Formats: sequence, C-alpha cells, structure tokens
Amino acid sequence: MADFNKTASAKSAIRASGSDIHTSENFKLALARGLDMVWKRDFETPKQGMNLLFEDSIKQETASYQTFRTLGGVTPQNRDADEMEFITRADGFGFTVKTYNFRQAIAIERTLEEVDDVGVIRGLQADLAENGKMTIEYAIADMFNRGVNPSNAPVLADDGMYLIDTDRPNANPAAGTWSNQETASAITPTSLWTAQLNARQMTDENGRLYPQYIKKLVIRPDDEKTVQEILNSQLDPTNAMNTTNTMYKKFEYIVYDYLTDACIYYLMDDPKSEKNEARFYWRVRPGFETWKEQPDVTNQRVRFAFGLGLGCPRKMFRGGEVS
Amino acid sequence: MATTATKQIRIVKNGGPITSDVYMAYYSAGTAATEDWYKGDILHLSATGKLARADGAEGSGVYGTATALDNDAPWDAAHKWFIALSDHDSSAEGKSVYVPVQEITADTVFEIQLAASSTTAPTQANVLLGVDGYGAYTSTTGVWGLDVDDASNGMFVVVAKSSDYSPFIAETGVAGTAGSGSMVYAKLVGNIIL
Repeated sequence: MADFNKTASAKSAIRASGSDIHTSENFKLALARGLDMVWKRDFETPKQGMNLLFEDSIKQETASYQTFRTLGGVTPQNRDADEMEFITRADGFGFTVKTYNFRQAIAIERTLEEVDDVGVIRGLQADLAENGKMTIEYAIADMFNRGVNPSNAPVLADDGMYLIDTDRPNANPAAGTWSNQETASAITPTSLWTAQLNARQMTDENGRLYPQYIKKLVIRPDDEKTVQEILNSQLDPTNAMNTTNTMYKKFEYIVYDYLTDACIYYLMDDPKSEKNEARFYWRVRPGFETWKEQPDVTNQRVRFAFGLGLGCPRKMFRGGEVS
Repeated sequence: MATTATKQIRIVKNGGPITSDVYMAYYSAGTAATEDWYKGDILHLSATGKLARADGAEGSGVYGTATALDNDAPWDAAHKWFIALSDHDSSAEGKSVYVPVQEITADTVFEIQLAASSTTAPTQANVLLGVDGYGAYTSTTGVWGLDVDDASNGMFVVVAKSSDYSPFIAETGVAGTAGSGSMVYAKLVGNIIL
C-alpha cells in the first residue's frame, strides 16, 4: 500500500567520531555497501563583507599609520608688496593594524584513501578554503555588528572611537567634536531624510563644512521590506495622508546578510575607493601545504594572516541603531 | 539550574595512536546498555585490561541520567583514556571484541562543551585557563560536558576558550536546558593519565 500520510519524526543527530584524523570509521555510513548515492552536503554561502572594505596588503605583523593635515583653509587677501603668509601643517591622528595568523589542517589515514570509493575525502581542500572564507566573513561582520554604539569593538577608528560614534574628536582641537551616528530610530522616510541632511552638514577636521552625500544604504535582512517600500513608493508609505515620499528612488541599498545587529549604515562613497579607510589588510593570502609526518597519514593545511584597520570613517560611513 | 552538554567531544590536536586491534571491549556475559558506547565517548582501560565507558566503573556506566563526575571511579585513579571511533553494542556483539579507538595522551587537546551540574552559568567567563581541574557532567544521552560547578576535582584543564580560537563567533554551543554552553579546548589532568 502506498503511504501518502507520513508523520514527521525528527531523527537523532549523527554523532561524530571525535578523532583528529580521518579514518574509515568516521564514514561508516557513507562507505557502507549497497547505497545508491552518497554525497557531501555543503553550505557554501556568498561572501559579502569584503564588498564593504578596501583591500590592502602589508608585510609587517603590526603596521602603524599616521596622518597629517593642513592648518587653515582659505587663501588670505594679500597684496603683492605685503609679506606672504605660509601654509602650516601638523600631525593628525594615527592608527595601528595588527594582523593575526590563522591555520587549520586535515589529516587522512591512507586506509581511508584506499577504501574511499564514494569520495568522502574528496573536496577536503575546498573545505579548508571554505573555512578560511567564512573566517574572513565573520571577522568583517564582527566589525560591522559591533560598529554602531557598541560596548566594545574589534577595531577602533584613528580618533579612538567606534566606527559609528558620537562626540568624535577632531585632530584640530578648535574644531570641537563631530558625529557620524544618527539618533536611534525606526527606518522611515523621515529618518533617511535626517541622515541625508546630517551627511550634508558634516564638517572636516578643521570644523569647516564638508558636505557628503549618501549613496547607498547597508541594511540587515530584517529591514529589507521596510526599505524597499520606502524607496519604491511615490507616496509616503508610513502614513495615509498621501504626502509625497521624499525618499522615492533616492538611494540604492545593499542587504548585508551577516549584519545581525539592529542597525543601518549609510555609505557616502564607493567602499572600494581609496576614500574608504575601513580596510582589510592581507599579510599572507590563503595558501595550502601538503605534508606527511609518516608515510601513511597525509596532512594538508591552510594558512593565512590578516588584520582589520580603521582610519577615519568620515568620508565613507555614517550609521545608526534601528529601533 | 543544571545544564547538560549537547555537542560531543572531539579531538582537535595531538590525538594519540589510532588502533582497532589492540584493545578489546569489556563484556560481562551480556547484558547491559552500561557496556555500550557511542562514537565520540570517552573510554578507559579498566583494571581487567578491557575498554569500558568512562562515566562509571567498568560495566556500570550511567546513560539515561545526567551525572556529575569528579573523583568517582574510574577518575579516582590513573588510567589510559580513549575516544571511541565507532559505536559499540555489547549485547549485539555477544563477546569481548576489538574496537577502534584513539588514545588521549597528555598532549591531546579536545574540544568540549561547558555544562553545569548546579547553578553556575556555563559560560567562558566562569572557567579559568590552565588553573583548575574541572569535573565532568554527562548528559542523559551520554554527551560529555566540562562542569563549571566543579573546579575542585581533577579531570579537565581548560587550555583555550572559543572566544580565543574562534574569535568572531561569540558562542557556538547551545546547551541542553539553559545557558549558553560555550565551547572550550581542554586536556586531561596529567596525573590521571597512565
């Protein structure tokens, strides 16, 4: 009889062997006789975080960066016979990038290689590479998930503040402080308008007007529906008064799937341009090495080293908590 | 509130020799589930020279109840310790048979989930690196956890926390009942290894 009324019943989790070497016992089910098909279930996911950082490379384990700045800003009125005024310069803020090593390996017993007729050890190098990519993805995501008003963060900007923060010092003390953090708010046409207005009213490190323009929004998946409605409605979708939606087709947006913190980022330029001082520093790009400690156990490892650095987010990032 | 581990022990480095025809499983004319184990369980070489589960003296393991282990047998004396590489059903075998295992040596580092036999939250903040010898707290399904409520009995020494070796993902474990059940790297305390 056909059974078209199956009842769901969760299977128990499959136990792992706990060994640090792949042996045939690890894959007892897959290597069993009489199976019609065996395959490894992969969870490769698209990588997104690197699109928000400028990629660079350094040779040192720890590298220091220093900025300098020009004092003044306008040319003085000065007749030819008068004494000339000279531009002066001064140090700006600096920051340090520390790189870290990452390594992981696999070990395969030769017997498994011999009896593996279904490919259980095929693609192990790809697994190492995938783990490396995910390490980078999570490292970058960590930077953005702890970027808006956090209690601590993996990197600080050159001014000693978080990626998105208030009361940021300027290198020129006379310029007072500045902020790239919006007031916590739900995403609405008004909140986007305010963010755009605040971007246009930004100041440089001498305190002079330095207008910036929001180009893209970076949002978490939870906010996609809201943002899509706001950016694609001619009338304000948040009220029933038929008022004009000033944000209609105003910005592009990126859904950053690894952004889990309730926040929104505003990009004011192309993150792949030199203006982006949120940077990913490669010291060693991923490399693979195969070796044997004894003839019948094959080892392979992936190794890479990178660090994250943040100069000044002024030209690139604004943001705020989403309530 | 007691919290059991849900993720099994796995050796992450310096595992000892892997053998499948050196050690035989303990068998006592046949009965009990107390002589069975699942792959990934900790075993010990008992006084009779046979492998038996390490959550009780030879032939008296206690699957089915959450159990706090400290200086109870077999952890009250030095033994050889192993990770089981395959499941073992004593009554199905009907006799003492050779079983595949990997030895846990003094250098072996394994990943283990934090558990709590009492009220301490099973988080990394509540264990110290390289200082105390922690007891174990096994779950009803025989999964081994490092007992954050028992820092005075020498079984496990924490050598790294997942916040160090997996820094970008805050917590990886979800414990059985409550709490976070973080993961740590640990070794066995040296003086219980023969």
